[in-house]
Amino acid sequence: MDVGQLAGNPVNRRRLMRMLVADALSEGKPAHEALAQAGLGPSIIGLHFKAGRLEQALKTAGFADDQVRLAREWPAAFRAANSGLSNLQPHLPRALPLAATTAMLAAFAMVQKFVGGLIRLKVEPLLQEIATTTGGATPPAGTPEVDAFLWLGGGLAVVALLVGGFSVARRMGPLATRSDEEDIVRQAVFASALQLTQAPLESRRRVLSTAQDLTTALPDELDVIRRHALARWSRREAHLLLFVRTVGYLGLSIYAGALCVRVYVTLALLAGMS
Amino acid sequence: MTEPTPLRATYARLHDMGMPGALAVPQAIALEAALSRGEPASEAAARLGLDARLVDSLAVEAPTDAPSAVRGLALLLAEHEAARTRLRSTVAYPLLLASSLSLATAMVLGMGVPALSHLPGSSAVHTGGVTLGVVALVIASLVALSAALAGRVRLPGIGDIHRQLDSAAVLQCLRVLTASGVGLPAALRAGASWCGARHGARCRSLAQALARGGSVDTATGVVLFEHSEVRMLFSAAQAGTLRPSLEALSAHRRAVVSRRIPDFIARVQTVSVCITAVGVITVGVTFFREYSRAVL
Repeated sequence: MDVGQLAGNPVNRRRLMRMLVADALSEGKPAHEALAQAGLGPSIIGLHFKAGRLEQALKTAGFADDQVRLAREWPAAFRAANSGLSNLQPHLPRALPLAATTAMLAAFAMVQKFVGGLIRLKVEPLLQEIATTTGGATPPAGTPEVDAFLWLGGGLAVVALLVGGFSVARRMGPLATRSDEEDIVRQAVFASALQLTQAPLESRRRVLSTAQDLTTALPDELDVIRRHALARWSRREAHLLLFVRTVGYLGLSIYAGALCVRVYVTLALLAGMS
Repeated sequence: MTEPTPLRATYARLHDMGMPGALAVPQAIALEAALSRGEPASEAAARLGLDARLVDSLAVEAPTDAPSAVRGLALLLAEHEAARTRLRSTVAYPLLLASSLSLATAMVLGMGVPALSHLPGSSAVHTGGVTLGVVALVIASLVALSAALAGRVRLPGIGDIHRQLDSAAVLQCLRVLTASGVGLPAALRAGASWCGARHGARCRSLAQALARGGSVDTATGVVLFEHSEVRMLFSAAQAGTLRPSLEALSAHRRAVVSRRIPDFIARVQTVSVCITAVGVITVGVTFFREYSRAVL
């Protein structure tokens, strides 16, 4: 294994395992032995490999379906493909703004629930009591405009969460489906790896099932296609992030403002009546 | 049947995969037809409405292998634009947070605080000035946001990122053009179209230094490339090993950019979220203090 790959990079157990597996498959060596030699056994992945369950082993190790297909069809290209894919943008930076928006919306929703409950339990009976004792005092005025703002803000934040959540969910997890751009980038990486390892045309066709055009592309053309797809994907991601952030933060700010106003006005009314 | 030429084949393939590149297929076909008629690449590109940077790069010196030059420059354009879009989105982030916070504050001040003045015995709450200030802040944030989206706002640390992006674009341009038969000084002048004014001037001064005899220009001031990169470029030009050197330099610079941009994004996000959190806490504390003063 190329130790240089590890130098200067934080390598956790899972990543090391994946690199070892990719190495072993590319060189036609038993992966479970490579894992054991590196002190990473026994593990479920190693046991799957030992039992000849390649697909389960790779899926357990966190490889995507298309990588599993590549390993089945032409394992020699697995290391090059894995290395090419590691240069793609990681999931985390895209998921973070969404997580931040979700966390803030959840926090505001909890505050709203808490304050609403508090007002219902403690403040409203007091207001009723005051209204009764003063005999015809004005009951606390409702705040429909503020409620409308709350709905508007919450709605906008939920729209952003749905759009962003859908886009992240497509890319992550076992049921992930990818955007066309990302799929083509991955297929172009596989095509380069297959070409580099001189895979037969039939294997290329089977691996590149969703981008058959790439099976006959020349090496320099593959690089151009991969980089074009990557650039386009990156632009779309940036636009999507901007949309999620704009709509999400706009919604959250309206929601938070309306929530503060609601609390403020209710308490002011109570103070005024008492 | 004749084999499709590389330019047309690549863009047709991209189009077939639903990923149109910087050139539409009809543009690629028309460009190749114009080149085979002997029309200069820059004129044909300008006539077909291609990006000005691409046209300017082709205009400095006619490349002998024009289709490859166009293909490489179109790829550079796509990658350069993608990186710029990511940066714009990043710069917009703190401004979005500032706008949101200001908007929430404006709502509280504009709708909530006036309710206090109706309370019996409450001290007068004068929020006119503060409200005006917050509204001005909202407007300023929105103006800054639109400027950020247009790429005109700079954040601390973004200068280095811009330099990295510019130098990556220039090196890529040099690689493409020199591989297509353009001399290094002309390619450096062409590289100036991919940078801002200061970095572009630096490119032209490097081209002049090279034309004067290849001595390394050690002048301080605007830095575009590392000094070692300039030395490598100049010595490669003299030794005739420009192609591998440019390949290596360009790949290295692209790798650096691909690491630096996510780092920068993470830094901006962290700082912005921290500042916003402080802002939210400050607004909350001020809000309840004013409320206590008015009511109690």
